[in-house]
Amino acid sequence: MTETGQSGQHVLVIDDEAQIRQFVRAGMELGGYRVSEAANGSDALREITLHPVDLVILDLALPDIDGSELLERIRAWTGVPVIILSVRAGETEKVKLLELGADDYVVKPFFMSELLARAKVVLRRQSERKDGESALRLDRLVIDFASRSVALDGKRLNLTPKEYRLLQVLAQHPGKVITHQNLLKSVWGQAHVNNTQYLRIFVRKLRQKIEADPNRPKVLLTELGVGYRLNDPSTREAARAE
Amino acid sequence: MSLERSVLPFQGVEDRARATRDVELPLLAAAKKYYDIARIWIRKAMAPGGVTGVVMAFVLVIVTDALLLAMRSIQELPPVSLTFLIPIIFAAIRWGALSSAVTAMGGAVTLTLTSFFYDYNPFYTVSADRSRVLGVVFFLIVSLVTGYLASRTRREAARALKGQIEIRDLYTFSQRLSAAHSPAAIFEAMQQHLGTLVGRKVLLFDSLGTLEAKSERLGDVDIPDAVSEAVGKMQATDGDRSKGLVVNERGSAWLVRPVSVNTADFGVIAVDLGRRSESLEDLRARVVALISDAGLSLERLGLARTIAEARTRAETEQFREALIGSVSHELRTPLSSILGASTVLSLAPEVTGNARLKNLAALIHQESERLNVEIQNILDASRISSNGLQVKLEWAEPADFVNAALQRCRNRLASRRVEVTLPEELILLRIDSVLMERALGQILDNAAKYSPPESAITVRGRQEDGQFAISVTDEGAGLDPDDQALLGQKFFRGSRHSSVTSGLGLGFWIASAFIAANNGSIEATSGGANKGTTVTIRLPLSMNDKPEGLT
Repeated sequence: MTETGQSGQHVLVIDDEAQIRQFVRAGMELGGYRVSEAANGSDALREITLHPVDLVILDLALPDIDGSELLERIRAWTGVPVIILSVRAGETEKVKLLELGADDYVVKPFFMSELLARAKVVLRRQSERKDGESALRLDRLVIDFASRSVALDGKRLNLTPKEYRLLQVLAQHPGKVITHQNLLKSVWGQAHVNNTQYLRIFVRKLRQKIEADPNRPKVLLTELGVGYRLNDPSTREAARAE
Repeated sequence: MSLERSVLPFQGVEDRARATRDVELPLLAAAKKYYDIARIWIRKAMAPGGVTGVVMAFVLVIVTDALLLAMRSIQELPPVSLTFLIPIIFAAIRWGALSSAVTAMGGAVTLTLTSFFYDYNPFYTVSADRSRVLGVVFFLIVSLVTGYLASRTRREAARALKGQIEIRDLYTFSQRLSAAHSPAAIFEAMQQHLGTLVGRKVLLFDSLGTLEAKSERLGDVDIPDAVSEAVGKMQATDGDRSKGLVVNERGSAWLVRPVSVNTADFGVIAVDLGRRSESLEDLRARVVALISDAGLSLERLGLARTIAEARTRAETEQFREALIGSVSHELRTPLSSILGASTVLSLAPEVTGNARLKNLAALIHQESERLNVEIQNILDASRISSNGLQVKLEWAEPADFVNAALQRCRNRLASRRVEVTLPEELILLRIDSVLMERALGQILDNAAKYSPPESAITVRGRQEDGQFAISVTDEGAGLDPDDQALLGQKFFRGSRHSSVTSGLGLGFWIASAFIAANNGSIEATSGGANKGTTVTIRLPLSMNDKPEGLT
């Protein structure tokens, strides 16, 4: 237990299995969150509309409504962070959920520490977005959106426009996995959504500039078969290694 | 001429053919012809009764005479010519025209003889001689007409009986066809039926033209060359083969036809139709019809089998999906709770402050994680076995899956010295990174499992002979030559470790399957027991297939 969440942040756990709800509640409460539970989709929707919720932890298998449909309904009117719990570990499934607006996903079975770490990243990202910061600091790396410049250890990096654009798209949602399709669409345009090799080449170039060892990246991380994400080595990696 | 025409219907085709052949010697030919006609006549006349008929004719005459004598002793009665009508008709029906003619002659002789002994004769008082002659002629006519009619009736009856038997056979045949559930049964039915119908040889050639089966009563059969040739021709031609081919060989006509016109798979059938030249066309048509029936049945059977197989496959697939679904859900749901709850325990201050409790929580945690890995392996193995592996090949960097595998195995590798070397330059492979990560994970897991703590595990990636090779070298238990040979097998575990180390022995097998799905290969080498193991994965590094935009 290194850090606790901001005290009193409200987490809604949606899962039809009472046992899962039970330990997730215990774990989240240990992490300093306030927890409420819902066993099905309609209870969850009622809870979200009646009380302010800071984070939703959503299991895809629900008795009354498909989890991905519930996600769409939630996204229709609120930007509350959503972490998906799923036994379905397929990459296509993950990509679909991220495209639908999930902030992160955790495959069952999972470690409580992993869920806590992800909750923290997601919530921090949310608060930073509210602050409207013009620069993102990731350990040794600073991305200044206003001046469109990137610095490593205080030294300005010479990035090509495509490399900067790639980093910028990732930096808009630090910690969040951005799918291959999304990155290709944002940087190269709709016509190139299937040219994964472009992405591989530019990610490699970017890693050679921002990583200490491009073969063992610490900042620009790969989510196999899904996409890439920017990682703040000071928070997430520490939690993962636990 | 009129005589010739009248006898022609009785004449066999071969005789006619012979007659035409010898036309250059008209006189001799004519003599021969009439000799032939006579011979046939005699043969026909003798046909039903033959010699027996003639002998029986004499017996009949003697019996009738005896009866007349007996009757005369009771009452004085003159012999009446009509009395002989009964034995004449009887002989005609029973033994044919010749026999009845002999009886008629016998009767005429009797009557002529007796007329000398009887003075009183109410019918033949005037010009007795003339009436005797007339009686003889009359008897002859009656005997011939009756004999002809009788033999015709007999022929009709025989034909009807034959037809009935054929219909019965055909019925049995069609019953056997519809009940047949294997090509072999259809072939057998077909052979038996054709054998009965034609009464001669039936040969079946498989699609390669080798003799596959023959009618049962046949001993060793030598296939006429012309038939073999026709069989070859039937297999080769693409044209209309429905009528088959008739070849004449050694005085015997053979019908050669593919069993099914639509496919050569069912082979070619050859039927010896014999010498029956007069009904050859009719017989050919019937045999062809039978073969087509059998062919259709075979095709139907093939279709039915395909449908049945498809259904079984679909059912198996459904069952597998259900099994995987329920294993994943029923085992993983409680496991998720156990693993999750144990990790919550590890976080609780009460536990973190107590070393003993902390170790216990960690134990639950580790063991449930292991259980999870084994469940995943079983699911993977079942997916591989049923060809349910979904492979999505994409351009990807090997470094990515290597790092992901190392990250996944970090707990197991924690107490080993792990050294990773990867090439500096960008390498792109067309692979499914997720499957490769799982494959490498299995190999790293094995390396950790079979090597002592604090030993080194080296992961080295490099380009080699147009391939990308990743080798994992450990300083562990190594492999016996025996083990090395068995390594690729499902559920195989090195014999010396099975009692010491846990696991189902699926790992290497799963890794091999995943790597094969990525068009790669895997190889394990070892210097021997306790000399460590090197597992090398090789993936194609296609130079001709470079991704565009690389330059």
